[in-house]
Amino acid sequence: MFDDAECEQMPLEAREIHQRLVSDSSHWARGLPADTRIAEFARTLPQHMPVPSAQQTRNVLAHRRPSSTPPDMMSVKGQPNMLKFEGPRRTIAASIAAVAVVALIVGVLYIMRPHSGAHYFTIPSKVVVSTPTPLPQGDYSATPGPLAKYVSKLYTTSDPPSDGRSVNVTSHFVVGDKVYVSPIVHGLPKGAHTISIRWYLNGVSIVLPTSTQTSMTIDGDKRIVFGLQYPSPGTGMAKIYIDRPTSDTSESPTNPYLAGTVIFVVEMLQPTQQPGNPTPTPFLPTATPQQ
Amino acid sequence: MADAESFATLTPLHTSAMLRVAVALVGAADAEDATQEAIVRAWQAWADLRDVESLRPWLLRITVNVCRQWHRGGFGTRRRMTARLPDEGSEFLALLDDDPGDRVAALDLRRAINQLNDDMRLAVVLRYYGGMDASEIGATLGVQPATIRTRLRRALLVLRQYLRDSGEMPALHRSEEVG
Repeated sequence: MFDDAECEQMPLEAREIHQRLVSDSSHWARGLPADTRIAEFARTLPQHMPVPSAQQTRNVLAHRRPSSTPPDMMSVKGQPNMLKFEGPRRTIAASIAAVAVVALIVGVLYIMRPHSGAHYFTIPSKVVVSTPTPLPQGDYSATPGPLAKYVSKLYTTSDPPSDGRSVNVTSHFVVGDKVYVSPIVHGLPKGAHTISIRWYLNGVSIVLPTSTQTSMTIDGDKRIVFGLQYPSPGTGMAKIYIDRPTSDTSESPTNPYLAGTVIFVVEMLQPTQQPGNPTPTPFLPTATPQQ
Repeated sequence: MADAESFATLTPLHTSAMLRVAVALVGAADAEDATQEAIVRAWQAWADLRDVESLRPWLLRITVNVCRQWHRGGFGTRRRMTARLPDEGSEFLALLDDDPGDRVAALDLRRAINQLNDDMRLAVVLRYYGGMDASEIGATLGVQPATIRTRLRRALLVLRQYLRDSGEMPALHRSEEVG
């Protein structure tokens, strides 16, 4: 195991250490345990352990990734099996998967982000949201729009106006009451003009049946009456427009077709206050034009 | 020759060398278990052995790898490559000459070996106590044999310096005076 040639190749100052190591290791080796049991173990191991498969073999000695595609990862035609990812292919797939996961997370966070408005749910396309202003106590005047000069007496009443009879102007109703809005339109340029109304409950536009009349065409100064029965409590609102095209969906208070906005309150029915009040009828709003 | 038959015939020829390397690397207490583990791994990888002529270095490489893993901690920390050689109370020292001077000298030498860094220590242990030459060590560790020889030379010089600094190498002083 150690020959003289090896010792002679050593630097002079290292030769004695070399000799000491040779001497010590020879003493050390005398005490080595016998390998008879180990040798017997090696001889009988194949009888106790089944012949390993090729995959097991690779798992045991796979200290490095194979530089080429192993045989069992080849298809029957000898081409690499594309379903198994190894090496650069696995790296690329992992990168794509990581990017996809990040994009998914960003997308979810974008969808879940807080909106600037107060609504986190999807509003039906036919429903238009408008933020009502707080109702001042005892103030029945309407909020004027850009076309306010063509409209007067814009308020809500509990009964329709009629000649020779005063109306009950109020902004407080109970569920089941019919709310009337009866503005007087005047001073419009000659020609036909369409006056329309839009009703809201708690800031949400009420989608009415198509049979419900929510507009009226006039060709001179006239008083128009719209009425709607509110079946639910909340803050009501009505907006009066003049010649508003159907394509206009703006809810801005500066909408150029807006004549004015009137706000009111619909409260729950109090049995003690109105014991004879009939049960509220189903939600069948009606608009009553009156010239 | 069938795989099982060839393994049962050829492997026992090298179990002595495997056991010696294991004793040198992990100590006598764990050497047998480590060698058996290496034999099991060799059998599981037997299909990968292409050249029977390279069986011995192949088995020793597996043994060294098993012994190196033997010293790795459970939390991924890595201890020294080799176990400390038995220096006190070892059954092997009892087999040394009864001369107290030799016994003390052996202890000093083994303490010095344990002071080497991992690369030098592994080279010295495998060369002198594991019974492997520089080519086998190089093949086992994946480095050139010339590199192993260089490490061995440097290790011997470090050992000499260590023993000289600790005042336990009078023989060397005499050698230098002669040289």
